[in-house]
Amino acid sequence: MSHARWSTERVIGLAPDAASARAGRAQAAPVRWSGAGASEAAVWGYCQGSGKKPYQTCVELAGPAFRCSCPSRKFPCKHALGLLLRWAGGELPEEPEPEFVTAWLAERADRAERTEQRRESTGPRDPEAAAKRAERRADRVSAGATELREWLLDQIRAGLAGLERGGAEELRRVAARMVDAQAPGLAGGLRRAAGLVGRGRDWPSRVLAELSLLYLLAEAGARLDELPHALAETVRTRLGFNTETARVLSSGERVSDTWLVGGVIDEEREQLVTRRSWLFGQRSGRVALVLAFAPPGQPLSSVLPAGHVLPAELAFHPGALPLRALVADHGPPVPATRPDGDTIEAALAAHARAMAADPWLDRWPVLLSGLRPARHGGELVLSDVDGQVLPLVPGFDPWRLLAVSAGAMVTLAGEWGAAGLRPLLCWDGDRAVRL
Amino acid sequence: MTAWADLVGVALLGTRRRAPDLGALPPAVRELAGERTDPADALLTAGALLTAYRRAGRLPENSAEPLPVAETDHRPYLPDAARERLARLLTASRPELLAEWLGVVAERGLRVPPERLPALAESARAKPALRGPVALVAGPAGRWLAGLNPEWRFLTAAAPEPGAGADDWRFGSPAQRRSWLAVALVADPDGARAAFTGSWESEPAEVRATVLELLGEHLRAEDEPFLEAALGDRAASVRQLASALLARVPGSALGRRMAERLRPLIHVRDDVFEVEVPDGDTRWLRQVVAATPPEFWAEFGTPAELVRMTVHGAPASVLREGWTVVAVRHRDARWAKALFDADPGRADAGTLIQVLSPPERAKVLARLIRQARPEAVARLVVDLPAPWPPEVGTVLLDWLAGREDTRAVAHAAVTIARTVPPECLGHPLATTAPEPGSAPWRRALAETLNFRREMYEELA
Repeated sequence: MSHARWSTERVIGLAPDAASARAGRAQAAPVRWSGAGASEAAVWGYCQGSGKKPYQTCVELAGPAFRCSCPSRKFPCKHALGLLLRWAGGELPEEPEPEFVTAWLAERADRAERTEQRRESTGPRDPEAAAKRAERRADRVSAGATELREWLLDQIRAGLAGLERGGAEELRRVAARMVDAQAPGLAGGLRRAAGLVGRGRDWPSRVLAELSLLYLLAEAGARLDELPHALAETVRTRLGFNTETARVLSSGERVSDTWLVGGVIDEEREQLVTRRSWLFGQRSGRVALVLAFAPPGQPLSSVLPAGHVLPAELAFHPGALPLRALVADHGPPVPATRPDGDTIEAALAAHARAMAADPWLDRWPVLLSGLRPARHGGELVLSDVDGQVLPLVPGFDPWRLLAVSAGAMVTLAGEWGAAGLRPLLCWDGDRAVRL
Repeated sequence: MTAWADLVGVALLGTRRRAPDLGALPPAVRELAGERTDPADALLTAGALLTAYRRAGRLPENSAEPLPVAETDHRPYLPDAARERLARLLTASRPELLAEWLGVVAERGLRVPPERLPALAESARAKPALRGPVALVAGPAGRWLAGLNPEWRFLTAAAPEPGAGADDWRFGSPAQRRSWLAVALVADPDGARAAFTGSWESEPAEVRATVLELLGEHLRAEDEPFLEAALGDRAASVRQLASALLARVPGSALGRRMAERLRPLIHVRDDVFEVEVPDGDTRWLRQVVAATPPEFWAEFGTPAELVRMTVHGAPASVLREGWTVVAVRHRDARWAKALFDADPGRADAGTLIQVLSPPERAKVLARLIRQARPEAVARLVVDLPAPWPPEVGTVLLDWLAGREDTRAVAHAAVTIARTVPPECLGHPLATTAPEPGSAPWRRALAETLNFRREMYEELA
C-alpha cells in the first residue's frame, strides 16, 4: 500500500496524551533534525536532544510502528511525533531509506512472518476445552445475574431512599461481586448507578432508570436461551461477553462504503484508554462504532482520524442492533468536506428505532445540520430554525463550538444519549474541526 | 410525566410500604408490567420499560432564544502552515513569539481558525500584554464571544464603540482599564482623553500615574493644560510624571519657564562653560537642565561643542546627566551623538542609543560591542529598546556568531533571538542548523530565529 501524506490532525491523533502532542509539536522544528527523509514505507531522521548524540528515529507508516533511540516510554515518543508532523507539513524529502531504516523494516517483516508461521503451526486451539470454559463462564454469569436480580428486588422493597447513606459503597461492593461472576456489563451499570447516588436533586430518578435497566438485563441474562438469536447476542454483549475478533471478521455482516469519521473520543478508566470512533456510511446511511483499547501512554489506532472520510469494509458484531464494527479493510483517509446532516426530528427518530432494538443503548451517533447556539431556560443549547432544542451534556466545554458558529448555523457530529448531546466535530465552512 | 414521578416516589419509599400504581402507566407498559405479581418486580419492569420509552420517545423542547449572530468576518483565513504554527505557539508558552505572530497576522489582515479563539482569549486573560493583539486578530467572532464570557471582555477593546468601550474604563478591573486605554489612545484619541479626564479627580494615585504613563506614548500639544494641572497633583509620583511629560510637549510653558531660570546663570566664553548654582544645589541644576528644551542651547554652541567644554561652577557630570535626559525626552539625535562621542562606554548607553538614527545607532553599537566585555553587551542588549532597526540586528547577530560559549553571551542570545527584526532573519544563524554537539544556547538561538523566519515566510 502506498502512503499518501497524512494530515496534521491524523498525526496528532496518534499522541498518547495531550502532553505528548504538545512535546511533539515542539520537536517539529527543522533545526532539531538532520538526515531526515521519507520513503513509501517509512520516515526517519536524527533528532538533536539535550545530549551529545542525536536520537535516531524512524516510523513505519503501514502499522504505524515507531522506533527511537530515546529513553522515553511513551509510544510514539515526541521525536516520532515531531518527525511525522514535519512529514505531514511536506518538509521531508523523498529519499532512499538509509541502512538503519532498511535493517529495521526487514527485522519487522521477519518477525511478522515468524508470528504468522507460529500461528499456523499451532493450529486451532483445543475446541473441547474452549467449549468447557465457555460453559463454565455462562454458568457463572447466569448465577451472578440471578443474584443481582434478587438484590435489586430487595432494594426496591426496602426503598431507594436508604441508598443515600452508604449506598454508593454498597453498589460498588455488589459491582465487585459481578466482576467475580465474570459479568463486567452488570458491574459497569452498578458503578454508574453508584456515581449517581446523592448527586443532584433528581438522583432517585436517574438511579431508578439505571437500576431498572440493569434489572431488565439481569433478567434477560438469566434466560438467554429463550431469546431470539440476535437479541441474545445483544444481551450477551451488554453483559460483557466479548465476541471474538476472528468470529466477527469471518461471519459478521460486511458493509463496504465510504465512511465519514464523525467523532473520535478517548476515555480513560481503570488503566485502560478506550477510543470510540463513530462512523457514518455515506451511501448506505449506516452508522458504526469502532472501539480501540490501549493502556495509557500507548498508541491507539489512528486509522480512523476524526473529520476524515475513507473507503472501508466494516465487519459488524452480531446483535439486534448492529452498531459495533471492526475495520476489515480500508483505504487512505482524506479530510472530509461538510456533509449534509439530519434534522433534529430525523436524528431522534433514528435513535428511537435503535433503542427499540437495544433498550440498553447509551450512546447514539448523530450528524446534524442547521443548528445554532441558543438559550433555553438559562442553559446553553443547540436549536434548529423552528426553535426546537437539543440540550448539551453537562460538563461540555462549549467555547470552541461557539467560536466556530459565532451564532450562525453549523453542521456537527456527536453522541446523543440520556444526558444530552455531546458534540465531537463541527465544520467551519468545509473544514472539519474537532471539539 | 407523572407516571414516572410516581414510580420514583414508590421506589424511594419501598414497595413494602406502598405498592406502585400501574394504572397511570402507558397501556403498552402497563400490560407488560401487570403480568408481574411481586410489586417490586412490577416496579422494576415498569421502570425499565418506561425508561426506554421515555428515552426513545424524547421530543425536542421548544421555544429557544437563539443567540445573536456575529458580524461577518471578511478577512481571508491563514494559510495551512500558519494554522499549524498557531497550534504550536499555543502550547509552547513563548508569549513573546505569540505576540509577534499575532502582530503580523493582524497587519496582514488574516483570520485565525475560530476554534483557536478560546485558547487565545485564555492566554490573553493570563497575559495582559497579549490582550490588544488578540482582540485585534479575533475580530467580530472575538467580540461576539466577549458578549457571552465576561472574562474575555478585553476582546471588545479592538473596536471601541461609542459608550460600550467606555464601560470597560468605568467598571473594568485595573488591567482591563489599562488595556482599554492603551488601545483607545490609538483608536479614538479624543474619546480616550474624555474618558480619563472625566473620572480624574476620583481616581486613586496609581491610576492617575498609569494614565500619564500611557499618555506619554501619544502626547499632543493640546495635552499641555491637562499636564499643567497635574503639576499640582496630590501625589508626588503624578507630579513628577506630569513634569517629565510637560518637558516633552513641544514649546511647553514649563520648558520656557525653565529656560528663563537657566539663562542668567550661564556664561560661555572661550570654550569654558560657567554656571552659577544657587545654594550649590546640583540636584536642582540637573532637574532644570533636564526640563529645558534642547533649542535653548543653540545660542551657546552646538551639542558637540558644549559637551567638550570645561565646566566651572558645577561638576560636568551633572550637566551631562541633564542633557542625557533632554536627548532622550526630545529624541534629539544631535545631543545623543555628542554625548556618545564624549563617552562611548556609558552605563546608560541602552536608553540613549535609541535616540540615534538607525545607521548611526548600528555604528555606535558596533564600536561599543567591539570594546565592551560580553557582560556589558548582555546588559546593553536588554536595555536596547525594541523595535531594533535591521542594521542593529545584523551587528548583534554577527557579534553572536563569533562568540565563545559564556554565560553572558548565552544570556544576550536569548534577547537577541527574539528581538532582531524580521529583515535580519536571512542571517546565516537563522538559516543554518548549528553543528551537532554545539552548546544549548546556540541550538536555542537557531531554533528561535528559524521559528521566526518560517513564521514570517508562512504569512508573507
